[in-house]
Amino acid sequence: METLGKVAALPAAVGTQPHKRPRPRVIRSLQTQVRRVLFDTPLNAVVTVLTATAIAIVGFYVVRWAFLDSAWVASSPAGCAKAQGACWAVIVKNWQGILFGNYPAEQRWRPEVMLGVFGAALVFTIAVNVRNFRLTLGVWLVSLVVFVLLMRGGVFGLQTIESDRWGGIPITIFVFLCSVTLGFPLAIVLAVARTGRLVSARTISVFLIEVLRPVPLIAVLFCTDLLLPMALPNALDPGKLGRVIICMGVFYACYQAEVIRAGLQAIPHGQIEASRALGLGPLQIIRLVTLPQALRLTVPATVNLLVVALKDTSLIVTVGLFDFAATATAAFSGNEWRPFSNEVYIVVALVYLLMTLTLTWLGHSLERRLAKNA
Amino acid sequence: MNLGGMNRAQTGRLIAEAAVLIGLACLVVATGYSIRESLVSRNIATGFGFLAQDTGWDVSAALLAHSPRDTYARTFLIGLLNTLALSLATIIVATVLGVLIALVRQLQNPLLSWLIGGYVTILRNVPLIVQIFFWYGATQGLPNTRKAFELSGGVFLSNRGLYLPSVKLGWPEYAMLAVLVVSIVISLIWRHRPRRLASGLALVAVAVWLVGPALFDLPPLAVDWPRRAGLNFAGGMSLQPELVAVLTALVVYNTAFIAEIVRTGVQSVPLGQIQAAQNIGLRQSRIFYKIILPQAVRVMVLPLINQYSNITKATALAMVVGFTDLFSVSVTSINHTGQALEIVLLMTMLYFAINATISLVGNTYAYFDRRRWKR
Repeated sequence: METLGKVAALPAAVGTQPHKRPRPRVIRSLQTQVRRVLFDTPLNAVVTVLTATAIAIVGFYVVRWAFLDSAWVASSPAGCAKAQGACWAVIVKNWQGILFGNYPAEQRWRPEVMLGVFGAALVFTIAVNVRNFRLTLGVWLVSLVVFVLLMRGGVFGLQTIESDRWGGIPITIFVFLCSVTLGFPLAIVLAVARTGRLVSARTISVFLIEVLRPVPLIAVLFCTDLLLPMALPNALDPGKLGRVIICMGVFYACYQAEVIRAGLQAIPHGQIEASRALGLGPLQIIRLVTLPQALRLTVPATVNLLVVALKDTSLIVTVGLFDFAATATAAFSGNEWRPFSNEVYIVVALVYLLMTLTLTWLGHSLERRLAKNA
Repeated sequence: MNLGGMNRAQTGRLIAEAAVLIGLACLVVATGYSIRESLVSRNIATGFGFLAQDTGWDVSAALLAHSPRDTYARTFLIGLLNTLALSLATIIVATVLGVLIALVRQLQNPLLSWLIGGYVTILRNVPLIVQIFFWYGATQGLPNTRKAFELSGGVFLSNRGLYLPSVKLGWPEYAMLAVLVVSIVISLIWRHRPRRLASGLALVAVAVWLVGPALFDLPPLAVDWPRRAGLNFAGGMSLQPELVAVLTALVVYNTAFIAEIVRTGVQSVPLGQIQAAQNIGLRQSRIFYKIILPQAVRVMVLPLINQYSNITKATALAMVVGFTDLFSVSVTSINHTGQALEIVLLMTMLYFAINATISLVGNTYAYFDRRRWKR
């Protein structure tokens, strides 16, 4: 089969490494290709047929449930009861509550604008392809400041709305961005302290990381929410949202610190000795030599952790904040839409999927660009 | 600056150490003072005396017998055992399914790989808590006990939970399991003759146990099947819907992660080795067992252990649908006694112990593995 295809074009020899030359690209007809990869052996043919049948059957039921038999518009659940399939009316009817939670209805334009601001920041990030890292970082930090000003109000003649009425997608994004913004510098400090020569700093870092990592985040969140007000004087208490952000930030930092530490330990010791011979001080060595390389090395692991952090924002519902998963639950619980909870969760899952996949994709493009520059 | 013959770097380090320690001391003193103030102002008792008191509230379901008359110590034990049981069940089922999925993917069929890849991507990227809510909603939508689904005779699924046949282990079962455990341990530590001996022993034990009731007058395995009785079921064992939902979500979610870990392990074996094995005429199955598997396992063990530790932590999410585990017992205890500090400390130490045990197992394996490969 290999010889049947036509050799399209031999790429020009690449530099001086003939063994690294890519294989010649072979153009085959679609039919040949399908036969080659899906039906080359009897076993493979059987597997193909079985898989295709399974996909067809499940796909048929899914399409029938989700599209053909579904109800999109119904003023009450009774309207949905007639439809055999999904009841998307629960989303259509409650979408504002699902997206923005308890935010006062006449002020809904504020979270809507906020989603637009986050969207614009994301488009900007994609447009510059994280090429100008400082500018990208600045844009996101500005978006956080805008978030607090716009959502809370009290300035520019905006009505003040306290954080306990915020909810939905904006709060999920806000908590994620804040905890990462807080956690990443802390992670660097912890990692440097753990690999450094200061015994006291190393002990504190090891203690914090090793105590927090075995405990579930949900338990850490609960404990912080409970103990932080006790440990801080009332004047310093940052409020529930602040406590959650501090907790998620520190928790994220403990995991991120271990990743950065692995990166720091991967730097050959000779580089540190060379820098010392050049007369650099310990902090200069970290800032100029080891840390930049360690951060580059750990981009893939960091992207994984960021996805975990984004998913973990869904846990803040357990301390009574209304993140996206919670406002979605509120859309049907305690009213007659109860039987249609799964339609809501499918939409919630799709939105989370969109967010995490965007994040992963951004991380991969950063990885590719770094690999190209290296 | 020159203090007692130290050079500049040493002096700097000393000052930095002192600064860190003084900062820490200030933080600890201030926090301690603030906590003491709030404890005194709220009139909360201190110490672990509450562990011996009766709780006055009951847990929803547990492996051990439970009642509102239990002490806090026993209730914590119940919670701990539930967490361990849920983790263990998830670990076993998710590992088996994950390995199966990864192996099926080895068939190299693009359509199947695409399907599995889609499954893995979707499940890994949706938060576990959303998946738990989803499955809980699904169990609420199940028919009531009178119209319960009957899955393959004797297994029933309704909105009251899952009804399974239960087995009562007699001494032959315990003997067989003991032999199995011993032979697994032996074959993990040694290779060659002891390992072959151990697997032979295990086979003999299972065979004797299988034919035992017919030939040697051993007591057969006692199976109790659930039966319909009035509006409910009698016999067998039942899993409450909360547990069914949490277990399903945990298994489905972690299966995706484990499948990915196993796939990475299998892919880590260089293609050249497989081609070499094909060239010397090894069968596909032998290549898998002799060349791919032993090397893949070495790559897989550490990520797997990490995932197992994640699973034990993730079981704390079971609380959101009302399953009793270590975390939910802690929360309820704090609400009833107000002794947050002590209970948080106890809970943290228990989770710490669970995870320390898991990493101990992992490190022990890594130790023997290194020793085995050195020879």
